[in-house]
Amino acid sequence: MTSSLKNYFDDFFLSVYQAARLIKDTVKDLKFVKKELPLIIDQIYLIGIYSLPLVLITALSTGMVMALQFGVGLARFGGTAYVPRLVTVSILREMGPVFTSLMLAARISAGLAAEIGSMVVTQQVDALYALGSSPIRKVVLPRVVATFISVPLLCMIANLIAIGGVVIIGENQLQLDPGFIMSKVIEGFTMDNFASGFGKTFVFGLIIAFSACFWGLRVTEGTREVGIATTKAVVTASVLILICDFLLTKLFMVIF
Amino acid sequence: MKKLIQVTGFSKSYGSKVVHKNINFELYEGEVLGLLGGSGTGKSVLLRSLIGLEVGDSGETIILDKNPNQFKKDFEWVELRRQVAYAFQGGALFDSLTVFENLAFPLREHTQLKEEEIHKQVIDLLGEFNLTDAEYKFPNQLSGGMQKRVGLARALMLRPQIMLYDEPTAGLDPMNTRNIEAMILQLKAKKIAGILVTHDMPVAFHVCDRIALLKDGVIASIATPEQIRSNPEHPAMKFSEGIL
Repeated sequence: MTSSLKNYFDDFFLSVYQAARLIKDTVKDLKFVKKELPLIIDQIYLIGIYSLPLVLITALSTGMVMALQFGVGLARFGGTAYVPRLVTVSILREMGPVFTSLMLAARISAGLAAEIGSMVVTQQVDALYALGSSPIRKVVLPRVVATFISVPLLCMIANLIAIGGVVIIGENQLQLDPGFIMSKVIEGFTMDNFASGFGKTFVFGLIIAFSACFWGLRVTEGTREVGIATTKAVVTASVLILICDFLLTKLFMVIF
Repeated sequence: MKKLIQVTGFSKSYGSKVVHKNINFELYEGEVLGLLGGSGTGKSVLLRSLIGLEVGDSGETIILDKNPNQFKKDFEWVELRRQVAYAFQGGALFDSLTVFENLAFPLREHTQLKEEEIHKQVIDLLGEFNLTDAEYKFPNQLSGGMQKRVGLARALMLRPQIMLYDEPTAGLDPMNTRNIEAMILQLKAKKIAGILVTHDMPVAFHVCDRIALLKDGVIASIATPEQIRSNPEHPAMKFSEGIL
């Protein structure tokens, strides 16, 4: 029991050390961003464009469901008119960035961890070393930069779509005047609200990319390990997003 | 003859499992050294450790007059890996790149050549390896034998002094085995030295100048193919007959 606990903590601290090294090495290789631009653009396409349908559906559904729930709840107190502003603020500050990032954590982390894990298993990562190249520069850097750019953009699109969902429900279900809904949405769309949510998405993007790359590169052999790495990448990214969401919310409350 | 590689007292363990206890051998200029041994005897581990893909527990390796134990910067490994190429067992081709792009990769990474020159060099090598038709194919569209040939061609793009062949004929039909054998002999004729990890005794006898047998964590014997063939009691002979 004591020995297995010791092994668990040894493994945990080793993982933290390796993750810190991965981040340090990636930061060190940032100078190659210009040279690796074609790979980064490829990854933006794969990560960003291919994630759009998922983001659109999630955002529209989130906006519509929130508007409906708040509408039904507040209708009892005659507060339906508050729904557009209330939901807009919730989406901009929390629901948009967090929901979208969690969905992207599932999609992107799983995909990247599986891809990188398979590259390890098929010795493509070893081949990079053997050819005098670097997996950090060729594999990790393009994915980290692409995710860092794509996640905030996708979250911004998600915010707009979710607010679109609020407008649809407000007009059709809550019988609010479209002009009134738009004026309240614009009222809620302040710089503070937008920035406090949007600012988090850069951190979430990094969490998603590094979780995937870390677990993917940790695969040593066998397809079973690829599956395990994929699961761990998604779980790590999701948990870290939720923890960082709380910390960043506290931080942004001080700033904004 | 000049020593290109000298391994002294190399040992390697994974936890409590000792793979190598005390490995000593040399590779001389222009020769191909065969490395035989049963499954799990650490032939590939030894090969990988020569270019730093594995780290030994102790011992010293001198490669092309350099001691990797004393490397302090990554670029020193990069320089060494330009001179010592590794042909992976399964080819290890980048599956998101075409055959052409796989071969162009080392040149784009390490040289300032213009695209026209890179194209010319890749096409020339594809021709030498009888792979011209595969230029625009992706690795998953190639047979196992072709993947190995492309992997071998890619390893040669930077004109290394030493080739490390990790079971290049494993899983191939006789025709493809002969092709790979012929390629290794061609490279040998061009004075490119090599270490060949294999289970395939006929191939080892055909292309190697000396054959080392790895057993119980040490090199049990090193001898020329003639010495092995002429002595039925030789450990390598017994290994080939499945007795050892």
